[in-house]
Amino acid sequence: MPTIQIQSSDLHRLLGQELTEDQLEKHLELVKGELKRNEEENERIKIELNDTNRPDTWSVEGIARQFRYALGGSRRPYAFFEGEAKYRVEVLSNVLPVRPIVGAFVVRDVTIDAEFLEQIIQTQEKLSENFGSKRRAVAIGVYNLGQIAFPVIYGASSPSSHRFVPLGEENTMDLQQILETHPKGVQYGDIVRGFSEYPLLKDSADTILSFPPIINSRSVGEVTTGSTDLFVEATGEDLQKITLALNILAYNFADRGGRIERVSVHYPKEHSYGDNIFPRRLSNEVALEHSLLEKLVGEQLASEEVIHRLRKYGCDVEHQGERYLVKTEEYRNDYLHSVDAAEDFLISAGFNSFQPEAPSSFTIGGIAESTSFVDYARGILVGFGFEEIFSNMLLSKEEVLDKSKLPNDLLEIDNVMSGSYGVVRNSILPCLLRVESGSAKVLYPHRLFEIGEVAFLDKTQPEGSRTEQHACLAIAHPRASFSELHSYLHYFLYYLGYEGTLTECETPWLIPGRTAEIGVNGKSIGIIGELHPEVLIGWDIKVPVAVAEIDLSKLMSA
Amino acid sequence: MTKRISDAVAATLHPLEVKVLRALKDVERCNEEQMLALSGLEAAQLRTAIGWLTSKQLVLVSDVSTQDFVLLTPLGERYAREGSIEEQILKLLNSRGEITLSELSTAVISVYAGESVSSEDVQRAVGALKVAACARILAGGVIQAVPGAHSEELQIRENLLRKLLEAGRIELSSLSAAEAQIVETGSKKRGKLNGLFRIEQKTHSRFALTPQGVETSVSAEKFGLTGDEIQEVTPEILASGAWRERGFRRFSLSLDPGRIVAGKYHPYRQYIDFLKSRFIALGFKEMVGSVVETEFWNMDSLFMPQFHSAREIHDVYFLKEPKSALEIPEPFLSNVAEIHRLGAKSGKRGWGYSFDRERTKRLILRSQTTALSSRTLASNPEVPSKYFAIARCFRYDQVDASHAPDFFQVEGIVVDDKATFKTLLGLLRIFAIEIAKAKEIKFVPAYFPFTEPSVEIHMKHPKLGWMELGGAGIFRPEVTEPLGVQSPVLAWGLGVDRMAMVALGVNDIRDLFSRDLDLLRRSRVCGRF
Repeated sequence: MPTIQIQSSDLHRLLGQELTEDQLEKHLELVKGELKRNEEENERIKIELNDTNRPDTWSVEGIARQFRYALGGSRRPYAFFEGEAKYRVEVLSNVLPVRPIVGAFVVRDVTIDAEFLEQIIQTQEKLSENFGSKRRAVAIGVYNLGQIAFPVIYGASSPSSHRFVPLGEENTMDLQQILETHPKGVQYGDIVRGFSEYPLLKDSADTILSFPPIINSRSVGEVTTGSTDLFVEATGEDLQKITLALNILAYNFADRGGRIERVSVHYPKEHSYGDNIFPRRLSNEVALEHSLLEKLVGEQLASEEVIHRLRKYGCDVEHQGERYLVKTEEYRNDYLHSVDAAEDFLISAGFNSFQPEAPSSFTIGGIAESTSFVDYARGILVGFGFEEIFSNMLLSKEEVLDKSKLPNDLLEIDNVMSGSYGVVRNSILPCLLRVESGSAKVLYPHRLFEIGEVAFLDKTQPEGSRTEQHACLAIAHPRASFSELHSYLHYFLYYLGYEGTLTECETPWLIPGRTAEIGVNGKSIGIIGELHPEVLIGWDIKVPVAVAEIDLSKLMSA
Repeated sequence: MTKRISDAVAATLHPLEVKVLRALKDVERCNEEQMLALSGLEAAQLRTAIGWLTSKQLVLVSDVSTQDFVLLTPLGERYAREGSIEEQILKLLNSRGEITLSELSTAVISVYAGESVSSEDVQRAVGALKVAACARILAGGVIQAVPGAHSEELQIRENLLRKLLEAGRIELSSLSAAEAQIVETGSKKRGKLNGLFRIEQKTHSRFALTPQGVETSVSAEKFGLTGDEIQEVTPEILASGAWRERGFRRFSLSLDPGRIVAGKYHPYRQYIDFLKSRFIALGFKEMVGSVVETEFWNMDSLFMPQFHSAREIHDVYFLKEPKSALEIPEPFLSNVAEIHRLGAKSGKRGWGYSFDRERTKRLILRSQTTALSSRTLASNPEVPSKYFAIARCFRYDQVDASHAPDFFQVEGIVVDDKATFKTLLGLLRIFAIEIAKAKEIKFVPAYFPFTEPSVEIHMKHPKLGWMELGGAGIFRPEVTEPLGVQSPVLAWGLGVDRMAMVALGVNDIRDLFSRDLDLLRRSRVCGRF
């Protein structure tokens, strides 16, 4: 979810009127925007935009456009979807396997001041980072029109055959050097690195415009305040996304007073990519049944109201009997279903204008059988004087294997953020020992328990693992012993309705001769014993500790 | 001291204190012997009671002086009765003429049977007699008495022993210098077990009631306190019926209670229990499931396109081993794959990309509870029905004050042909009022990939101002259609960690899972959130 910074005076200029902070906050609901922090000093406003399907709202121009409809501003004619293209881009077949899609348009007679320039850079960045999947799907370049000899050629080139001065550098570099040493090359190089040739955009005079999607040429591709005529292009993998990104930019430039001129893109004849002229229509429209809308909202609606509300949200509405044909401007491409138009209606009307209704259908509630069992078990242990612990499920491999000497049937995380949270617990024991380890100064006795989920590797299961409910009991005080815990265990099982038996066994984390497998109805359901001094030392615990861990899932079915 | 205070003090007097106050009431001041006689207490009891009463400033202690007395040890008493080792030796020598040291030892030790007299003691005594020229040692270790010899020191000691046996104790200062010297060398000191004398120091003081003490004793008398009130109610007292006559001692209510170690629920867990009880009360059934999920149930079935930015390695945790589930059940896999590409049958279009049927099997740690909702929808739920889950979720995040390694989400669905946007708002309002105790709420448009319309509910917290309580919406047809559900489905999720932090007064999410046993013991589990 992108966060953008804008200047309120810039927003007010685009709106043609001022908004108080309250009004701004209220209107931001129209674009699912959230005011973050108003930095008073330089009157910059931070806004988080939450709608991933509406990248047009990620710019001050787009926000102002959506506000203007609600504020009753007249609709502007955006006439750049018709007519011939004045400029050409030729695509060479060698770039098609690498990055096949390109689109472009031209802006004339626009005034670029410092604030506008900042907004251009910000919009370009948000569109290519968030909407363009970090430039993989969409990367955008803006150039000074006057320096370009058309047609522009979009082709591929070997990594060392061309040199130019990239933005942010003083000297010429070849494409391979850019990939290896330029910060943008390092950041985005993976997109093209696997190919033997890299995309290159140049003009008919062989002047290099850019190395998409990495970096522009400094000579042609550095836009400054005072620039008036621009060439805007986008490259990527998906025609719909390229079209939408370019349309959004075209609307933004038009709203700043620029004149948009169309650019045609020509593909080699032998390929199936069709020629296109940009900006191009996306036809974001959907049929919305009146009855479906009423059913969704939950009340009767007047057609005039529906039409009025949708128009106030910037939609074109054609009333066709029992349904509406709802259509948006070409900077949106988010209508996948009639419910999307229905939401536009609801937002335009204001969510808080609808009277909430309590659901009337009768349903029976209840907790899961396993939860009920777990809750009884917890109640028994609290009654025994045990204190409940509640831990995170992620811990370190070291805590489980080295310190607790537990078996390694662990589920490990592939993309660990931190080694401290690298595995899912396969036992609750380390969680209790972690508490005990830091509690030497807390009044003894310590009688602790936790009941909760653990998970193991189990390749016989469809998901390669099992999630189970375990109960772990630990007693720690200077005279803590197997026999004390055995009594608790016995009555714990007894109260739950089971008869437990002990069979001597050995494990690395318990003292031999004081370790037993707990059996119920012939099934092994857990283990009890006194912690081995090696484990106590590992956890820096100074008193004896007796522990028992029970698989409640198994116990329930025993 | 007002009467009210003296009554209050008197009411909680210990029986020992009452006895002392009663004893002192009629005398101006008296010493310990008198006090023992008047109160009928043992010396130790008297000292304890005096300690309490002086700290309460009811009794004043004055004229403190000390006196040293000499007493006999048990061995000293034996010497006084049977004669000392030296006397025994002389007696034996006189009767038998000559005798060897070992014969002498055996004979002497048998006299003092029961006392720890050793052969070394006998040797030492022989040495002392030799020095005093009362005995001599001949060749071959034979010992012989010196006829007519006489030791003055021995004589003084014998006399002192007899005097003490008779008197019980004698003041140290009344002894002669020679006697005092003998006491000094013959006293029981550290490391010397066989001493004959011991010194007892006696402290003398005089006790008197302070003015407060007088008032308190008046109050005590008014209440009829005798000091014989029952302290502990014992089975014997119950059986004998003695309580009918004696009355009970009143206990002080101002004492700090002693500490206990008690069984206790965990505060966060108890908050989750509370939430569960609320959802059950509202007619929701609990959903449970595995913490390991496939991308299919966690994302694809929720119409999140496979290129969605929240699906990358910096957002969810992937399993190292195994990497993929064995299979995704049909017809759900094919239905979902098709809807991603082409959109719902009732809709216009899909995401328009080719669905990766291998990627969808990838195993992750559940990143949103919605995975449980989509599994429930695929299990042919009844209509109408309501489900909820409070489940652990895992996200790739730096652990800090607002991010725990894993956290809880509460989420649910309502499958109901009568479900509408307005009932969704109504449900959210019930949650806000019933669960979060909100007084003022508002609804704000939101975006979630799987719901349309999508809404956030915000509540006004008395201290924290407007805060987001949760998100909700109506599941997109692209979510419900492939799972075989024809009814509208309301979906909602509330920020359980945040609600718990507000309810439990915790500022750092990590404190919800605190490892600090002391903190846990101090935390309250009142069950009223």
